[in-house]
Amino acid sequence: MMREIIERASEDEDLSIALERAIESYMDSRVRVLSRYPYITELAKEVRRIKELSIERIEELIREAKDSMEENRMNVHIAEDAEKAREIVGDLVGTGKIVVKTKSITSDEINLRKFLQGRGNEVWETDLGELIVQWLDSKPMHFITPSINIRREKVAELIRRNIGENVDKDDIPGMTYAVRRFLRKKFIDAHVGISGANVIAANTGSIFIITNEGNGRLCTSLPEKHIVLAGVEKIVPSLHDAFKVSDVIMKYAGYSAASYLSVISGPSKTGDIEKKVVFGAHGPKEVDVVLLDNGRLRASRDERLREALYCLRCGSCQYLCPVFRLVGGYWGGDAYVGGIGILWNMIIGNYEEAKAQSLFCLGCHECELVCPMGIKTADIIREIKAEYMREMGLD
Amino acid sequence: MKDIISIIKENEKRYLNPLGLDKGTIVRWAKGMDLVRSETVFYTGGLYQMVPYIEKFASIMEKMYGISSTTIGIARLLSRAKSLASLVPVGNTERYNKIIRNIFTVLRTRINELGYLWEDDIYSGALYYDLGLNRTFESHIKVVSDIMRRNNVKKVITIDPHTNFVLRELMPKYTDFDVEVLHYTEVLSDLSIKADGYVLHEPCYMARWYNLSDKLCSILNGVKKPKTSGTYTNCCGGPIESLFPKIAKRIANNRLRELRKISENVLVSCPICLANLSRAGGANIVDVGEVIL
Repeated sequence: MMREIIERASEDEDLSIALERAIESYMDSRVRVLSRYPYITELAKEVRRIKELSIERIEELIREAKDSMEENRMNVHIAEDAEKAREIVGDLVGTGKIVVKTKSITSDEINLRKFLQGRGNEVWETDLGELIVQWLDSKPMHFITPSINIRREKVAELIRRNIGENVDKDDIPGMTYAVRRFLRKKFIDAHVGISGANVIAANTGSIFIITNEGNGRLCTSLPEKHIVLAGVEKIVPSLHDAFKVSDVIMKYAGYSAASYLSVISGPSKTGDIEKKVVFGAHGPKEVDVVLLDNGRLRASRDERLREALYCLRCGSCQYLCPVFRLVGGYWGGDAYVGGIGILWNMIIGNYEEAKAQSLFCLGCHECELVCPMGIKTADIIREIKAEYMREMGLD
Repeated sequence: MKDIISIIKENEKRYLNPLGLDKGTIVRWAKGMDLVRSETVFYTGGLYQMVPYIEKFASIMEKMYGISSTTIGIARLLSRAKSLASLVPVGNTERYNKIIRNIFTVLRTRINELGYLWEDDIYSGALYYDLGLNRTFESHIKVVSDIMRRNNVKKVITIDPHTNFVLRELMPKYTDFDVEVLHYTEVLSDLSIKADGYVLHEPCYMARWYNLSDKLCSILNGVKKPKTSGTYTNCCGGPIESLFPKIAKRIANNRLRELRKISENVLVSCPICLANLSRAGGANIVDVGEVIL
């Protein structure tokens, strides 16, 4: 079945054109950004060391981050697995609410949108690419560009069908503004905003969120309640470290600097009337942080899979992988796609799928070459293949 | 998939290579040549010799995929055949034997005592490693290292990037035998090959290990490069050809589309790239070994 899906994807002309357009554009941006900021390759090496040390001390950093966040009046919840995380977020949201979300692969990992919808909530993805994925009832096809597989013609059709605005297929700004108008009301009416985190500083309990569209700021500031769902591997020791990680993520995603870097360290508050602190001045009254394990702590002790916890999710390896260039996110897994997706599926316990998908890896090592963290994805996948061959009784 | 792995393993057991080439087929390139035994050896690993068989095997698998009973039937036929030689006419192998002869001829002008191991010129085991057949690879590479030791080999000159990688990178890790391994482009740095009109497809294992691609480019005069080249060269898809020939072919198509923007004449330097890009079709794929003289 999996082989059929991948072979069918390889024959899809629309997919091929969409991927070619997006990848060409990324390649040009990457070359431009990396040559304009030559310091970034050295900074990437430093960030690798920061991530290595962070994963080494992961349990200690979780405790430190929790303490710092609680000090800042954030509520912290530790979820050992996907089910527990859904339960926590589900209880925090309740039912009959309007929920706006930023793009979050971790929320895709636990299938959060559908879970909340199933509890009678109206949930909206507010990243344009993720909204396209939501309308298609599909899955994200890339870490940074979830709708990388969709051509503009299809996007125009989706907007016409879902918003009712008659947009032109060649008018990409027109399509973008139609979505802006549509989502504006959702932001205003939303009871809850859900975001992920690109990086978390343990010493200050600060959540870093990188976006270009500005949806991240609206999701995390307009609703009364903000829920952060983040994997525990996102925690680094200090605020200073977190800025370094953010810079590397942005550059390797192909941007000089993303339009928005939000640093959230607590609920909105004011003390302007007689120094009496009141929460929820303009932004959220409550901030809840759900730190998800779901196999990450086990992986931190696994010499092989630990590498994948260093992943910054910049998507470089996906753009440049020849298999991904052919079939996009149809290869890898559900939330985590491409070669790095195979490693992440092993982390979150989708062993069988990960092992079967590993056979499609070419072992060309281009992923390792372009990864700012130098993750040895191809070598690890080869070991996963070996495990599969042994288990199948073939070696 | 299980059938294909079974064929590969059965062939390893009988012929010490995944496609079941017999020793006569592997050493045919040297027929009539006066080759000595020496401490410095020319090692083919049989990979160029395999190209017509890889093409044949992949095309059978591609056609038969989806008709499971036929696939199994073909698989059994292949595994029972005395060797794959019967499926590929001898005439079709000459092009690849000539590539080997050409490279050897040029090398012999630089190395006085360049020897050959004849029947001991066996496959490196690269595919087993790539497929994750660790035990098969480990036992195979021990055979290779035993051969090297028995023949008192001190230096190996390889002619393809996969054999080079296995002997240079993996053999010291998996056996207690370490030997100096060089790719032929490292020995021929003073060469100047006329390559005007060609676009170069650099193989992954030359571009990303030991700067072999730089050595290759330095001896090719006038060759052009596509947008993704050098360290960032794009794979031809060949490594998954044995399991997923359709996907491998489409990856090759993608790569060829990029290469053909520069030229219809594509220069390669790897038997796997030669096989997979040729199978995709639509361009004139030529190995460096064909223009080296």
